[in-house]
Amino acid sequence: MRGRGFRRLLTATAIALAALALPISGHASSVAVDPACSVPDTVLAPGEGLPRVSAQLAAGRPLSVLIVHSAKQASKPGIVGYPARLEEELKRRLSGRAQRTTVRTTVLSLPGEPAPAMVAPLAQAVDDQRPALVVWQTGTADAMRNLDPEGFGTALEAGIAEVHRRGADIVIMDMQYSMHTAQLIDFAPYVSYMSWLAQSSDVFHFPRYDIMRHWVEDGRVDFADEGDEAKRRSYDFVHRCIGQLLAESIATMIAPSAAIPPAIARSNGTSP
Amino acid sequence: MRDVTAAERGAETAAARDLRLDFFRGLALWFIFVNHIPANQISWLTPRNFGLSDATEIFVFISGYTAALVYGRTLDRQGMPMAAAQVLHRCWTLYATYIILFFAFTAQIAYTARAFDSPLFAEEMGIAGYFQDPVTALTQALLLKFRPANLDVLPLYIVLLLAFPLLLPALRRRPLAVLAGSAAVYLAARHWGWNLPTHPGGGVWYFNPFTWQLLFVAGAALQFRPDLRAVLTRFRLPVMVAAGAILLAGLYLTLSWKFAPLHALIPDAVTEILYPISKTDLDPLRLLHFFALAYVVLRLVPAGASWLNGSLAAPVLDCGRQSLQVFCLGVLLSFAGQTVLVHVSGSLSAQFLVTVLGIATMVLLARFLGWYQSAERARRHRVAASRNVGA
Repeated sequence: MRGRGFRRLLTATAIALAALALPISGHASSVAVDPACSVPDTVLAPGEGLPRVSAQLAAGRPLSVLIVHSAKQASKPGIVGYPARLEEELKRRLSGRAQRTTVRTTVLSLPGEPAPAMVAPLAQAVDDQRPALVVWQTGTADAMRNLDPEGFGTALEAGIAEVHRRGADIVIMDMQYSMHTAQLIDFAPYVSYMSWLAQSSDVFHFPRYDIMRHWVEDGRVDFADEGDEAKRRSYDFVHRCIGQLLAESIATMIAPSAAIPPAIARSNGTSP
Repeated sequence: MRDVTAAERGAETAAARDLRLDFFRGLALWFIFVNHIPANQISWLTPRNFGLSDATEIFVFISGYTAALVYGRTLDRQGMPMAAAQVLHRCWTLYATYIILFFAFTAQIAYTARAFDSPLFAEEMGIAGYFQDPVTALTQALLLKFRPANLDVLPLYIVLLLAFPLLLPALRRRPLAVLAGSAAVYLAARHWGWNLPTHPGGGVWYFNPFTWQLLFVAGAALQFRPDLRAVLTRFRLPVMVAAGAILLAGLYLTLSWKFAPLHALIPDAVTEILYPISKTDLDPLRLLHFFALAYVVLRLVPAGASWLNGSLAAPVLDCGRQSLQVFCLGVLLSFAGQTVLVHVSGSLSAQFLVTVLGIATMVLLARFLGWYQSAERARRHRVAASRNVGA
């Protein structure tokens, strides 16, 4: 009874994005995504582009990425989340570019905050750090606390506008998926709002929820296994793959004209 | 003795209990059950995928209508105090049911919530709020503020019924004036964003009682004005065409969420006006769609439709007559069904099996309750009769 058919919306978005991305997909990156991580185009297809990032890179500036998320900073040693992995993955993918690109990532952690409470710190951080790109993960706290989906959507729009006004591009990322958590928390209205908003405002929506669901349905990861080792393995798998796919999407969207042909890229790809 | 029972039954049927009420409420309960199992693809068959309004609208509207029917009768025969007492008794039953349901639900959740114990999910979601602070969660549950997903309709129903005795005398005398007041509250709530809070802080009720009351009151007001009902549901070609157009537009919109090319055909200016279509605040478009649907369906299914007495409709009718208990069972069953699909097997045949078994269980319960109630009524009359003989 609840929700507005997020699956339909996501499929719609995916198809639309796939159609848009067809002409540019397939090159851009020199480093392949781990086959275990990869998902079909119907789940994840890069967006139209990141014009502000491309312009900054063309002007010879470094690729600075600010990751804003609502998770706790990993506390245990030996645990590395996707924010920490993104820099390395981006470097590997951009190392083949004609002009040398420096990649710098910073992380703003706002644990347990819903989208409306993230907008101000997000804008402040963009003011302070002047990143070229913002990756904004949000929606988890909103869904857990049953916050008004419309308030969530308004905050999302406000955050996107704040970032754009400061001359940076933004990628929005939705929630994690597991059958167990999805049974207790109704993510659907928030996921569909994000994908609908992305579709209507030309912002790239990184569909983490659908990606993880694809892995689960494809049997690549099993969150039901309750052993400590299994939990550590699934943590590692998810964050490694999210880091790779996110880096891959970003690298693909940075204007292909600025990238060197894939053939050359491949030959240089392995150098650090 | 037999005569007394027959007389009572006669009085009940004389008040013309429209079978369509029970049928469509029963159907709504089936839909609600199926829709509450996210892993169940059979839920694609339910009306929310073919139009803007869904089973909740049907359930709330018919509940308002039947509440007016049942308590209006008591008001006429036994006066206001008895009618109010009956409504409050009903609320108490609902509340007790809600609390029982809450605990049964919590037990199921406790089993499932171990997923949050993995570092992957604990990092972003914390150990689910549910169990972090049980004292607060429990007291908030008693206040209807902490509501696990899926239990949303019941608190709405309780609040609407609680307010019902206050409205009943006025509704009886001036249904349209009350309806106008209800519409004013609806507009004000939408304009100023009124809603009730939830726990943990900052949330709002998924079904905003200030807006959803409009459907409930509309149902009740129409029950008290048979003349108006007849006028509104009379066949008129322009109305039928308009209703059909609204249903088609609703179908197109819902399909456009699934198929991007359809969405692309809608001009931006139109989507700007249409969206967002809020379920929480009962968007006017949902209302419009519901009334169009009701109009068309009432024309297609006349009051005395013979198939309503047939054996195919019987299981649905049974569920509609025992709506509270069947709804509650449905909530538990849908959670259990989801657990089975997640933990045991999610295949299409498993989905089919879960759906069929769930609905069968709901029908069984409804049949049992129906039998028990009529048997209990007969027993009481027997006791009363034998007492009379003794005296």
